[in-house]
Amino acid sequence: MSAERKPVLMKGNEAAAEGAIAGGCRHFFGYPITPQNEIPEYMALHMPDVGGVYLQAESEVAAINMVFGAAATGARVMTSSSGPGISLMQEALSYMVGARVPCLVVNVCRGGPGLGNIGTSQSDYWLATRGAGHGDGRCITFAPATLQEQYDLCRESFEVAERYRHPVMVLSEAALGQMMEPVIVQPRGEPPRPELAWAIGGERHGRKRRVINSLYAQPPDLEAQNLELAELYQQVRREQTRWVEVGDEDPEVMIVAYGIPARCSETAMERAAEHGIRARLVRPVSLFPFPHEPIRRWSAIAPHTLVVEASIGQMVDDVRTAVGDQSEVSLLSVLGGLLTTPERIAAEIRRIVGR
Amino acid sequence: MTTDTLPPGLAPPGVVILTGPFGSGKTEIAINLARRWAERGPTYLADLDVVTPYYRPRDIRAELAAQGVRVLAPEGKAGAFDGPVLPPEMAAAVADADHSLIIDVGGQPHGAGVLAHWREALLARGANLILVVNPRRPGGDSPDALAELTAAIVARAGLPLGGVIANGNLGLRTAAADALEALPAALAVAQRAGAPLLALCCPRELLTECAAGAGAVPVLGLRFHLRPPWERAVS
Repeated sequence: MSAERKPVLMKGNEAAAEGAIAGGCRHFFGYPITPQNEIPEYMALHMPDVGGVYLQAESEVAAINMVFGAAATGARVMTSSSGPGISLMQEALSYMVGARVPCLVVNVCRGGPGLGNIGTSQSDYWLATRGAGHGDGRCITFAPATLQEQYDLCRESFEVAERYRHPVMVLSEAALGQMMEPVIVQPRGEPPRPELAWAIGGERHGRKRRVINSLYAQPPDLEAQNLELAELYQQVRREQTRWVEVGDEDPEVMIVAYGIPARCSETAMERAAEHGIRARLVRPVSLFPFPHEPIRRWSAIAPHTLVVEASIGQMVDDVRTAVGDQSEVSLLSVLGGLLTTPERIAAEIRRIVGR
Repeated sequence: MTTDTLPPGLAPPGVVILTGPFGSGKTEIAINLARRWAERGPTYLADLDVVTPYYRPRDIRAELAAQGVRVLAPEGKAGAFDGPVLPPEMAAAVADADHSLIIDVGGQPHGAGVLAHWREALLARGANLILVVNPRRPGGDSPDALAELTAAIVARAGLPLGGVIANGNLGLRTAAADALEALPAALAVAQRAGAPLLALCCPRELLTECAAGAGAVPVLGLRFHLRPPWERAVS
């Protein structure tokens, strides 16, 4: 029924923040770090519009613990940071997984390890998908490739996080945070929210006491909790595995890439097609759960698989698990904060195919 | 105006300072002007974005040098940081009447504060401080917000506003309507600030269409330089 909305020109970090607000985010706790600073800036400016709370904490450790506290009361709450800051947040993220509370964390990934630099990168793939933090937990992780997708994923993530009572990470990249693109923005409103039977809030009106806690001192209790999480992750795999695929139906080469390298890969495929090369791109949108199935399926057809990632060879592990020995897997790593280029990918495709 | 000539206020020699909210498109306008100015005489393009360390003229320094534009920006490690680093040649460039100078000031009022360093010299050279307006940005069509921003930039820079450029755009997806619909907002902010509307900008391919709809306002066709690599490849 709604009239068609006009796109606006947004910066990626703004799109993430506005998406979160439209998704019902009313609390933001964070700490500055390039290249994500426009997210807290935007939140500082716009949280008052929706009666929300913005607070710059004294550190990332404090920020994520504030997120934990707010999330435990059922608030739609988020934080954002980049590599080093996300490292600092791992302990509390693990507590949140253990305590089963939902939140959104946006990681606008920069080059590492250490301080690295502020160039664009995907080098937090392992940190995100093997996290969150210590212990037998995971982190539901989505990776946008366009600013519209960045907006949409941040908007939707609160619903996903609440459905599974689990943190969600949107793994973005410096280039995505800083670039500008048209985005169609939805009205903010107050999204409908389910009754949260677990949220704490004091013993109001004789309600039974609720407890949010990640301590399971007795081994059988922790075992039961670990198994419950394992079951949850199976459900997440069934319901949240997301990917986009484009290209030839009879490919000689399958490209697997997400985010910016995926966008460059699409252009590279057009270049390769000029040389008669048939290629197909499988772009994971959920990194955990990882889309093994389409990759396995296309690897049975394409003799070559090329993984393009702005990291040393992290996602390639998951691709190899999916492909097995069905297809030869090559890796093109773009490192150091450099931007991937279609030229480089096209050259690699031609080298692999041999023409 | 139907020709793509440089209108008064945007023609060399001299000093032009482009400012405005991020996303207004000031950097692309600065690069386009610098290339055209360089055809007429020695030109510096000062990249003074001390706030957002991405998509800056320094990224295409070599390409611009080949076209006669010398980019002034911190070099080496200093150029890769998000710190408040200014190019050391800047003081000399501001005083150098043999060169024209285009200054791209990012970071909104905070960024414009750096201009105060050279305020006296800029005033002596009659520098033209120009606000770039893009109503396709969220809130970019609000006269009150634009007036507030203009006042803040003028106060921080310590320079009067010399003019306004209408640059309605959706980046590489800009249509003629996006460019033309910027006129009312740009006119409103110009009138409130008591400064002229100097030009309307649009992608070069839309020049004829936009000139037909812009009435007496001069139209400048832009070529985009800071394209992401996947877009550069398909253009």
